Amino acid sequence: MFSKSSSNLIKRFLPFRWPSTNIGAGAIVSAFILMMLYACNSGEAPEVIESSTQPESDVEKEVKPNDEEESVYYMLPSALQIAHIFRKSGLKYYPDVTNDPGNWSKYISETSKLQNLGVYSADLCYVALNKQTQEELSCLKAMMDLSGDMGFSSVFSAAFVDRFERNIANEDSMIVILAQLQERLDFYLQDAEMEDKSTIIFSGAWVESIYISLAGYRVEGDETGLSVRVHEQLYILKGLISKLDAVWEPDEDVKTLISELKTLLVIVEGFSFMKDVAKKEHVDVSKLTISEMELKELMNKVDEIRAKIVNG
Amino acid sequence: MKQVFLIVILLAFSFSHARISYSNTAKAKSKSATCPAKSLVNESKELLKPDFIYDGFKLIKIKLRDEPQIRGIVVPVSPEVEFRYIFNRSHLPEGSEINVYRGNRASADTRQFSSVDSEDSESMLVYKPERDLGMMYIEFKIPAKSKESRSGCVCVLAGYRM
Repeated sequence: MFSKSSSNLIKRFLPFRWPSTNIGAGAIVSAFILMMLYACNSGEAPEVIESSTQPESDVEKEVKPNDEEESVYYMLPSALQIAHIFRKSGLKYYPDVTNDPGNWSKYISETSKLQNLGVYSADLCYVALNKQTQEELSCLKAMMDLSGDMGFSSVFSAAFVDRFERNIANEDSMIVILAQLQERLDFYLQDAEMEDKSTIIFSGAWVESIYISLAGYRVEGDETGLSVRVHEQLYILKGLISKLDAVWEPDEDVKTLISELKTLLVIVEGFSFMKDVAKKEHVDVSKLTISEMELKELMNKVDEIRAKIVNG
Repeated sequence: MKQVFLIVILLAFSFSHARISYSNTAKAKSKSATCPAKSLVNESKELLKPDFIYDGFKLIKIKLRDEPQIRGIVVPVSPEVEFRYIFNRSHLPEGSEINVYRGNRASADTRQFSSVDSEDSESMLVYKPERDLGMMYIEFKIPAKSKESRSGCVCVLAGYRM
């Protein structure tokens, strides 16, 4: 284990001669050094469990009040679940609706990076469920680049990326891998101080999902069951606004997004089908309709919100 | 003999230093905490197999107070998807209750599920919501602090069928 010169150096600084036993000087000194190294570095030891990750950096200016003090939480769906719902309701694949993966480097503020990490995660789920392998790789790379920029790179371990690449042509495997990616991110962001980041990431993913859905509607018309989707997403929008409202010391980007989403909520709640929803406890969502004017208003607002996010 | 004694002292010192340093790390502290997130999630995930895939989890840490308390989670439920929720209550303070209601708050006539209908020995409860729930409210009723009770946590894990 030790070279002759280093062994001699060690002997010089030790106050006794090594006994000539089977243990030997090298083994004892290496055990000592290993223990000292372990003692000094144990706080930063990399997580070796494949199914989870640990933060690389956890720099917070101030600590958010402990979540033990809060009483009501919101549990929002994953980007994959939203992509799955949209695909089930008939959304097909359209090229060029997703955010350009090359844009990742233009996001400067932390909020912008987090939001666009969410945007790319929604794009990844959309292209993966539509078997667009080249785009899947581009989205993954954009996510990795952004994550690396924010100190999240451990979410994308070499083993994970390898598995992603090896299974990219197999949709069933990709679904499992995307769910694992979500889980890795969830574990990384589970602490109270990190939960705000998780909310901001989800906000980007949600806006992108709605944008893609509306882009599909532009081409397909009512075949995509748009009104059903809008109605379902309303619950998520309310939850998202509540979670964003709870973000600790929000920056201007977050404040703007909250304001925009509240305006979007007012727009949707003003739709004529919402009157039926308000009157009945159980609504057949498949019979809900949305007028041309309402649709245009919705599209314009979503386009506006999404443009602010992806333009950085 | 003197040499062996010195070696033993050296190793004992380095080992104790290693232990002290390790015990001060965040990692060690999280392991000794009352809420082992990873194992709670991993145990719960087993109940999603083989047909459901992971969607997300929420871990609520509970510090007992002098008076009873209520915690809640609001969850949107899409009618397009078949969900399964796992409540891992292995670290939930004794005497706590889990209830699920239709809508976004508790009301007796909208209760869909209750842990009181399960055996106390069951540490993990499975709930499959009806598809037309729209929104559900999960309520955790936590008893007041007592001599025997301990603070803890509860893990809610969501999965769905693709």
